[in-house]
Amino acid sequence: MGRNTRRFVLKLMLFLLPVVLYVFATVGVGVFAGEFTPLRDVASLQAGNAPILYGRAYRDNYFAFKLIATQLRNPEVLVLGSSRVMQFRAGFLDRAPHNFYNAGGAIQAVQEIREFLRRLDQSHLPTTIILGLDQPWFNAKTSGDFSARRALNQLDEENTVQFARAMNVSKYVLGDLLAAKITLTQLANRTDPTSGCRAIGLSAIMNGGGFRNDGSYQYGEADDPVHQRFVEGLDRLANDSDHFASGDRVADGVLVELDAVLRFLKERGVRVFAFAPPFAPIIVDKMKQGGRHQYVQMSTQRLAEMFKSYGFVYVDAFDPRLFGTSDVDMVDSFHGSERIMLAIYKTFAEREPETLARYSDSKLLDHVSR
Amino acid sequence: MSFISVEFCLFFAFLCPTYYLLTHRFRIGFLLVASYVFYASSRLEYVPLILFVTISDYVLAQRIHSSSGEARRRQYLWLAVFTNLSILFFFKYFNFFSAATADLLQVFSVDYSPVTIDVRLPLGISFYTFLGIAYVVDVYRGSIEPERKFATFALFVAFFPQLVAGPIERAGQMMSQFYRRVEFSYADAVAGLQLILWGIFKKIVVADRLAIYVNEVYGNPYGYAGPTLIIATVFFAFQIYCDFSGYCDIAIGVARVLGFRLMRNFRQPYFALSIREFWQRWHISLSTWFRDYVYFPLAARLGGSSILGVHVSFVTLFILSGLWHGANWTFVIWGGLHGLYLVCEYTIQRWTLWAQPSAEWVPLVWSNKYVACMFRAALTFSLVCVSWVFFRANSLQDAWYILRHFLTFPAGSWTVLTKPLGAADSEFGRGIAAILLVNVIDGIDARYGWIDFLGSRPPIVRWAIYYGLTAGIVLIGIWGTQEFIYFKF
Repeated sequence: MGRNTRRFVLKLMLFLLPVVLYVFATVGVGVFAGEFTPLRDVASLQAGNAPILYGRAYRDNYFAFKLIATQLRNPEVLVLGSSRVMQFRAGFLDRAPHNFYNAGGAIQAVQEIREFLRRLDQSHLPTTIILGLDQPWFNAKTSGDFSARRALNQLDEENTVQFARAMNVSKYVLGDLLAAKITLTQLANRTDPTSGCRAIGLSAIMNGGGFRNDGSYQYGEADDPVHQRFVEGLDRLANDSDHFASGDRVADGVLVELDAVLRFLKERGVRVFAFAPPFAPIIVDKMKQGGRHQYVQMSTQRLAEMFKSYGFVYVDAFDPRLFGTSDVDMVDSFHGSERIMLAIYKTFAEREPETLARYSDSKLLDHVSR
Repeated sequence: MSFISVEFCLFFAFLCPTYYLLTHRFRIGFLLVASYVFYASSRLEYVPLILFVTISDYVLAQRIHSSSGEARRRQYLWLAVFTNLSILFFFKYFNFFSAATADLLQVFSVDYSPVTIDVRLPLGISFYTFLGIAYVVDVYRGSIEPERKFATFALFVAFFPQLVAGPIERAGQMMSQFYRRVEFSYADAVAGLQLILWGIFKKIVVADRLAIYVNEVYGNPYGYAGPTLIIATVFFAFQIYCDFSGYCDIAIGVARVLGFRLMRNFRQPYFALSIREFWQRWHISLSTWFRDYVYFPLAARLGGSSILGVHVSFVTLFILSGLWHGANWTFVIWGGLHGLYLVCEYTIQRWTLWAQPSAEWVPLVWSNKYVACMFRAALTFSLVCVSWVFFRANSLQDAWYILRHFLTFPAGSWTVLTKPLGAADSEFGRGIAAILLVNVIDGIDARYGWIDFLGSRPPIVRWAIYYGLTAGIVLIGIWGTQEFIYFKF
């Protein structure tokens, strides 16, 4: 090796050394915490009896994760929807908790329901699906924001771009280490700080936020006082954005998509219990007073008719007060707590006891909900 | 295997020292095998295709050279061109022309359902077929001798730094380099790595950052008003520039570390003062390819320097260039628009004697023509941006909608500029800062040459720049799934 070559190699190594050390250290934190644990491995572990909390900090992988977990378990009762259905618990089905899985958080558009169902083992489809249908999916003004693209990208990403993910995790880990959001003692324990069970992923380890074995979500951090829970939602309502955007027309195309999904399920003998998820009463009142969210009422009517035509149950839980609950029972402006979900589940069980009675003891449900 | 991947880092880390440790006579074989491994790592099944094109061009070029009669030489030439173009047509254009035929027949009330083939576009096919055509034409014209050694020719076609997305090199410039005894050069290795670093920065920090906004707006343009549509289009202009020129910088840098000089493919295109100048600065290897192998022969046939001949040649040339970029009407219109721009520019220059501006203008340096040059650069950039709408839009309807709404400014439309980014609205400012940085570096490049500029700084400044770029890549880079745009062509 010539002098020039040696000089070049030495300088290059000197230059790369801190970069490589930095990447190894930060990615190492991610690997140790389980940010890169394959979803199939996590799903397999959670299918066992030992409680395990799984929550990644840096990547929304809910569609891919819930799909893999559902494929692995083939549950009889499946909850499907956005983050707004994540508080349905296996405990609601006290007679057969192992037949339940909550795939809440997987779906962010009606188009994704089809993609999710299409990827399940068609000979082991669930016998009962509890379907949360977010109101904004049907808002003609914002429905264009939703598609199955996000979900499909997630599947591709999980399978391919590990290097890119590692680099992404690397930069976030550095920020969180500097902001003391990641502490080394907690990291070393790798347990859920709230329950002490095993935790996989930085969110689960540091905040106790993640999916439980039954697929339901544990928010982890201590609840905000009631008056603070709705600040962000009220802002978004004032800004007419995201889930709170106004609208006076229903997206007909999305209804057509949903109709195809229901037909698919009906043909396969799957029972469907659907609901419009709750908003906090304070938000509901503001929406009604503003008079700019007519699409909510209109879509509810259309959906009720559609579900009736298939003989499926549809419950409008837009205003949770109708179920004997209040603002206190909301996690935030548009996420209901377990108590509200239990109330909705009880309504399902009352509307069609012959399907849900074999899973749940209605007296026990009454007792628990009180 | 993408240039920005662990696989490529390992591949290059093995290839580079091995290459320099080998004696000269083994190097061509080694690079050839490495290039095929590089290509096969993306999709193994297309290796026979590139091998077939290589063999076909090699044999036909030999025949052209050894045949004595002009008619026979010409036959071999057309056979070679036909072979390359038919392969390209089959894989890239068959479905497009089949659908277009069906549409055309429908106009005459003839019911014809288009035949389609389900085949993926082989990586780099547009580049290596054009490289092959240039080679046989050059041999036919007598500009170069055909390469005798098959391995050397095969390496010319498959040389991995330029295989997937160019630059489209000419045999005259590359072959001699393969025969040159290359010793490790400290200066070349450093310059190569500087280019690689800058290329990765442009791709990961600038292009992929801008892509977030662009993809959101162009994915559903109907939800946005004029200001957002304009910004998305300007962002796209810099996205595609940084994406493709970033790729080329990496390719040129990789080749340079190995001791090879590839041609420069971009020269600050958005500093151009006219559309003509833009094309002298944008994708130079393709522009000069079209100039040498399409424009000159076509213009000669259409009447030499007659105005009509020049105009028809311009438009035809750019429609073909549009088609080269993709089998879609949006690309055809993008190309046609540039052809029309050139026709207008040519006509205005003839009528008004508006002189070609100085190509030496640099935005960072004040001159007495600064304001006039700035105006012309802005005008040229705006025209180019209008054409980018067709290049990026998912359909003609989308493109038309965007153009029609460019100048609509409903109340509040200026306050929702970051809406496409959702919660990641801080990326908007970063995107603009990234564009400014690219323009400053381009200014330095135009004035001093980026590599020379770096080389003339004290080591501490140089290393600070290296670490600054690296920190940018690692800490604020957008590490996602964005492929290089020109991989699709």
